[in-house]
Amino acid sequence: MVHDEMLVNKARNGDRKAFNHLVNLWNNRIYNFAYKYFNDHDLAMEATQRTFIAVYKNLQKLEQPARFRSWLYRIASNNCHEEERRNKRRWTVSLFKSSQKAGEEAPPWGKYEKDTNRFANPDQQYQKTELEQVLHRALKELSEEQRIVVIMKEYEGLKFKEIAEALDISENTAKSRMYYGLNALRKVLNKWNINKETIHYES
Amino acid sequence: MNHKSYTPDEATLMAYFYDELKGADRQKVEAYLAENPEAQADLEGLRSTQSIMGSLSDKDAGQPLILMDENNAFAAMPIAQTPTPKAKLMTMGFARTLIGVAAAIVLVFLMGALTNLQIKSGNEGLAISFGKEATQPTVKPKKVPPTIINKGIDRQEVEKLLSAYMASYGDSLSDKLGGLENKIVRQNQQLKALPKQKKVLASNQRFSITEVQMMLDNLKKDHLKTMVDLIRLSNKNQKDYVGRAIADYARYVDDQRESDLKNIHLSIRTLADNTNSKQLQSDRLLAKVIEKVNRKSDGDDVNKR
Repeated sequence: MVHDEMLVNKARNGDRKAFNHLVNLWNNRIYNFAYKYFNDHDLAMEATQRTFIAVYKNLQKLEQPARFRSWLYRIASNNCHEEERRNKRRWTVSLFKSSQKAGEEAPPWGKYEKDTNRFANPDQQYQKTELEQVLHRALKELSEEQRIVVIMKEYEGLKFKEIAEALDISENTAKSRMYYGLNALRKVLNKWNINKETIHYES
Repeated sequence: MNHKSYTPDEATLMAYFYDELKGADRQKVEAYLAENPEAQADLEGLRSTQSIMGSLSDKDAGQPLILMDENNAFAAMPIAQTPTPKAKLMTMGFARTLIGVAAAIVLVFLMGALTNLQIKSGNEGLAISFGKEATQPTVKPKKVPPTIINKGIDRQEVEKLLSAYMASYGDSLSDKLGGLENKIVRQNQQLKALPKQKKVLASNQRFSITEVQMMLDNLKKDHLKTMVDLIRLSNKNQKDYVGRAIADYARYVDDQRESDLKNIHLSIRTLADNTNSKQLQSDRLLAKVIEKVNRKSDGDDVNKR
């Protein structure tokens, strides 16, 4: 994180390269945060781009560069929330069947396109993709408040203190949302009969 | 210590679950769990859920946004920088109008110069004409063909050119001086022949010696005047030649400098582009490595637990 702090300080002084470094370092994380939030590539990309534009515009307002991580996730979660709200008001009809919508059949050209493990067992690959879709759906079952905390903690590895800072809530609230979020996930997975035994995929 | 009365709330349990509880609080929770198998099973259930949810892997985000230079046409993001004074000036409406008017005036003068526009106002009224004037000046300097200096020539060639200018000028001067000399010699001969005629004239037309002397003085004055004019003219020509040559040389040096600067700028830009792309690649690699290390250390933590 010292590296982040150094880059933030440089970027605040107008160093474009330092800002580009920051974006490079955090782009994948913020995209994945947003992807787990939406389970939709386009919305996740939109939220990611908006996040970095907001970071660029507001970097001067960041009072403590050491808290860049929680500040970044605060912007990201705000953008995700805004994008979700905007998307609800938007009525869109796709000409193609979207591969992103849960429960719909993905087109054959896109599903395994970005898989790097080309020599993996196709059966395992299929199961893995199926499982990931199910887990994404499970996350979407949570309330927005719980989902954000679960993603921040489980997938982004933030401390409860950082989550509290990012969401502007107390640490205890963050912990309690996490507790109820995990329990809700457990119930959903149980309901769908998904447990360690039913998962045949090996990492 | 009696732990039976102690029941940790969900926040404390989560802090324990994620290893963020230290010291006495942790021991209290551990003791509580040891005495409450149901609570222990509950936590195990959450651990299992966590493990299943952990199989959700990351996706590749692809190419991130890149902030480009201000002068680059493909800037990916808006640049919220304070404008430079020059840029500020250009954005001011008044300054833009002023610059527009100035440009228009310059254009009019330029067109006037190119078309030889002449505007005269006198007793006859206002007269506007294009092209050359009908009356040519009596004394016109010899027109020198324009000198073309190619980009490829070097300093020595330009110096050679200069010396050629000087030589041609010297030739023309010596020609003129030679002509003048001949004229003077001819006139001297005429003057020498004059005393013989003088007698005849004196006898025939009765010119006095003083009159002849005056005529001679007038002739001398005329000669002097012609010489002065000639020297002035030659001086002017010389200045013109040298001025034109220096201007040509300066233009050549400017062109050369400009092309050199362009080449240097292009090389630096290419180098910067290459460096940027390499940095991007290394950043992406670094980010991947950091992610892998983090994932590995998280996995280790989970295994330890």
